[in-house]
This record gives sequence, structure tokens and C-alpha cells, in this order.
Amino acid sequence: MYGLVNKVIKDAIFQRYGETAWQAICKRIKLEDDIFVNLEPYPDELTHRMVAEAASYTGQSIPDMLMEFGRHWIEYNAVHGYGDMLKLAGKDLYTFLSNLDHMHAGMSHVFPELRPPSFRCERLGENQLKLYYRSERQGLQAFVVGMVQGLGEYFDTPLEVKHTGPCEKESICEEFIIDIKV
Amino acid sequence: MVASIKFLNRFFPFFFALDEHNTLVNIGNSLAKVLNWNGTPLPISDVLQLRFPYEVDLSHEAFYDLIGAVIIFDIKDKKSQIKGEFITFRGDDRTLIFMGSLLLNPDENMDELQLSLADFPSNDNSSNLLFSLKAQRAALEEVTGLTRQLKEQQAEMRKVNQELMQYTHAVSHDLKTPLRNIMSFMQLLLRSLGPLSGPQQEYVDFIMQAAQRMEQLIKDLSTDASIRELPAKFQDVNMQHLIEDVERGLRSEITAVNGRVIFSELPVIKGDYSRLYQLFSNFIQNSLKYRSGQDPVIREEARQEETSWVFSVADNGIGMDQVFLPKIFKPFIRLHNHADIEGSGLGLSICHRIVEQHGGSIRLDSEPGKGTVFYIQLPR
Repeated sequence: MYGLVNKVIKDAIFQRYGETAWQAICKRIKLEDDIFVNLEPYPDELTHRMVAEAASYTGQSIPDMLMEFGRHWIEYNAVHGYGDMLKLAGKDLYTFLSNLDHMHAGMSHVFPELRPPSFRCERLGENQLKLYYRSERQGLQAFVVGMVQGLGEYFDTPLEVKHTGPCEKESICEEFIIDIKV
Repeated sequence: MVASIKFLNRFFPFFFALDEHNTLVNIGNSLAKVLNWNGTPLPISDVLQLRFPYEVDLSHEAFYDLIGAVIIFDIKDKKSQIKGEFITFRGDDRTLIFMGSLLLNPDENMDELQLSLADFPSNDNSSNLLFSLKAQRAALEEVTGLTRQLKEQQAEMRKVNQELMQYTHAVSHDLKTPLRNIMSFMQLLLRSLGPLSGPQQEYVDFIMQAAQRMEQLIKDLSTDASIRELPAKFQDVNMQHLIEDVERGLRSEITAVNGRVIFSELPVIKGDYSRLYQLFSNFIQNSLKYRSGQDPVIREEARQEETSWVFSVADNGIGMDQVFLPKIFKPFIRLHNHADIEGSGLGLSICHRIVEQHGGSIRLDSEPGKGTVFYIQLPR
């Protein structure tokens, strides 16, 4: 994964649990250089270890930790360099989720080793959306839940999001239902 | 034509229709936003400017002859352009349709153009390009930030390094005086005590040896600090004369162990005389220190290469194991199995620094029992 992911995790731990927590996690995973460069690819394994150790340190489950990082992903990117891109993707949740693949396609010019997930958004009703998520990486559904929650805050749209399970006919596809609270 | 306009708006929302009077009579929805068009026919010259590659008038007639050619228009008062080609519809009223797409200038804000992602057709790669531009800008900001951080850290490190050097210099200078006092008063004490018993003499010898080792260490620390702190003074240095001077300076040490320094014709190079003196002096002292059972013989030669001189200093000393070679130029590294041989552990690290300051490189070959050869490559 690109350094941006690790940077967001580091920032989330820093912001929410403090520098001591981050230092302890680095020590546990034997991470000597904790300066991440957005544009540099890092092994997925490092990110997984960071998440696992963060969960262990904070006493949370890995899915809860991922959810927290998903929320922070939006919060961080909105203010650190990628805010323009978020704005470009849409002014509301539905448009934004529908444009995510465009965003990733555009980003792949700058991040050539990007292996992004794919998102498709469908309106089920006036206040209900269905999100289809496809990724070659496994076990990140909780991150998507957190990310959608973060988007709800970003667009000032109170919502509830639930992972409802895999898609009917596809093994790498997961479905989420988003209920917008009015 | 009505159906065509609908079609054009869907796939080419940056299109415009030009009539025979050089007036824009219809403009695609997205281009209309950029031009702030209110629906009134508009002379083309009011809003567009021909860019490249044809030197023709901005007229219907000229464009009619260029049907099918790629044309770029600058949008007046904006930084972006539209790129496309003119077509006409068979049997129509000679109205030209420009089927174009926007060439967004990275310096132009989408909001300034009154555009959003929805204004681009879904089949147009411009939307991906727009994200790419944003990602590039973010990447550039990161690189700029990292470069700034790096520069700040570099400046900070330089400052800290300088302070550290000044500190080392001051400390080593301040340590010299008390150490000299210890040695002088020890000698006075010895004189006043008269003959000593065996163990007493042994203790005194230990004290004096320790003091001499400390004196050497302080001297090396001070030399190291000077070399780091002060800039080198480059001039023509006759290496033949320099080695003669070094040999003269070390004559008593060389004679004491029945050693010999042999050198053939050596060149004149550009360098700092006192540092090169220190360099070759350290090598010779090293060879004398790590001598084998034979009388030490040190050979110094120079070989000319395309852009450099390679000096070699070869001895017939005890040599060293290959495992020591990678760290031999690091400060305070001493061969653990020769801890009884005097030295501060700074000599070769000083040599390395001097060679680096001269823009050269240094390496060595060594084998236990077969001696050591240092190769010093210095620019010509």
C-alpha cells in the first residue's frame, strides 16, 4: 500500500491515543523509520501489523480499529492535500461514492502501483443507498464502514451504514446498506 | 438538428455551432457555463481566439476549409482551451459544429470555470484527468513539504554538528592542561620519592602509560575536530617532498623498530598539505604499530589513472582478517585481538575523512600474516 495509508494510521493513533501509544506500537512492530512518504509503496504486511498492534495496544477488536481508521481516512485527506480531490468527486454522498472509481483511475497516473478497490452505488430509495465494494484485498469491510461514516460527517449527512455480507454472485464483492437519517 | 444538439450536449458538452456570419448560435451546456453565455448569438471573436496550428482568420469561411482538422481555441480571459474539429451536417444550412473537449489548465480552478465533474461527459477521460491533476498537485505539495523539511533538518544538523565540533575542540583543549599537570607532577613525585619497589614501579608505569594514551586520544580528537570544522586549503603538493617530510617527522619511531620507508617517484597533486601529511603519517604509524616479527618495510607508490592518482601504502605487518575490513574506517574501531597495541581508534577514521574531503576514495587489501595495502585514490 502507498505511504499515505500508513501516514493516516499513524496520524489517527497520534490524534486519538497520543505519541506514547504510537511509539509503543512502533517498538512492538520493530518499526525504526516512521516517516511515510505518500507516493512510496510499502508492503501490505506492514500496514496489517500496524493495525493489529494498534488494536492490541488500545484493547479494541481489529474491525473496530479498522472502522476508526476508515473514519480518520476521510478526516485526514480532507485537510491534508487531498481536499481538492474530495471536493471534485462530488458535493453529496451519492455522487461522491459514484465517482470513486473515476477518482482512483485519475490517481493511478500519479500512483502507478495503485491497486484500488472498486465502488458502485445504487439508490434503493430516497434515503437509502446500496454500496457494492470490490477489492482484491480481504478483510477491509470494517474500513469501508468507517470510511462511509467519515463521509457522512464530511457531507454533514447523518447516516447509518451496515455491512450486509457478500454479493450474491461474486466472491470478491461485498454489499453495504446506507440509511440516511433525515 | 434539434436531435443532434441533444446528442452533442450529451457527448460533447463543450461543442459550439458557428453560422456564416461568424456568430456562435448554439453552445454546449458545459462551454456555456465557462463562457457565461445567456443564449444570445455571440460573435466568435468575443470569446475565442485561435491558437494553433493554422494561421487563418477567425471566420466561418476559413474554418469551412479546415473541416476535419484538429484546432485549438484559447478561451478568452481564461487559461484553458478547447480542442476539437469542425463538422457540418449534409444538407444543412452550412452551420459548422465544433466538436471539442476542454483542455483544462492545471493552474485553473474548476470553480473559476463554473464547472463540476458532472459537466464532463461520462465517456470523456477528462474526468480521470481532472483527478489526476488534483493528485499531481497534492503529490507536488507533499514533495515540496518534504524538501522544505529536509532543508530545515539539514540546516539544523549542520548547526548541531558545528556546535559539537566546537565542543570537542574546546573539551580536548581543556583536557590537555590538567593531563600535562598530572604527568609533570607524577615525574616530580617520582624524583622526590627516590628508588621504588617492584610493584610501586609497575603502578607508576601503568599511570604514565594511561596518561600517554589519553594524551594521544585528546590529540586525535582535536585533529578530527579541526579537520571537520575547518575548510581544506588546496594547493599544489609535491607528494615526493611530502613523504620525505613525513619520514623525517617519524624518523625516531621508524628507527626504533628498525623500519624502512621505500618510495619511488611521486607526483604533484592538488591538495591540503597538512591534511595529506596527516594522512600518510597515520598510514606509516599504523604500519609500524601493527608490525609483524620482521623489520617493518613500508612501500609507497603512485599509479596514474584516467582522472586520478592511486597511491598505495603497502606493509609487511600482521595484516587483518577480512571481517574487520568493512568497519575499519569507523571512529573508535580497533582490532579486538590487538587491544594491547596503543592507539585511539581514530587514526583511520581521520584518514577516511581527509580522503573524502579531497574528493577521493580509500580501500584496502589485507590478510593475516601477509600485510596490508591501502589504496588512496585522489583526483588529478
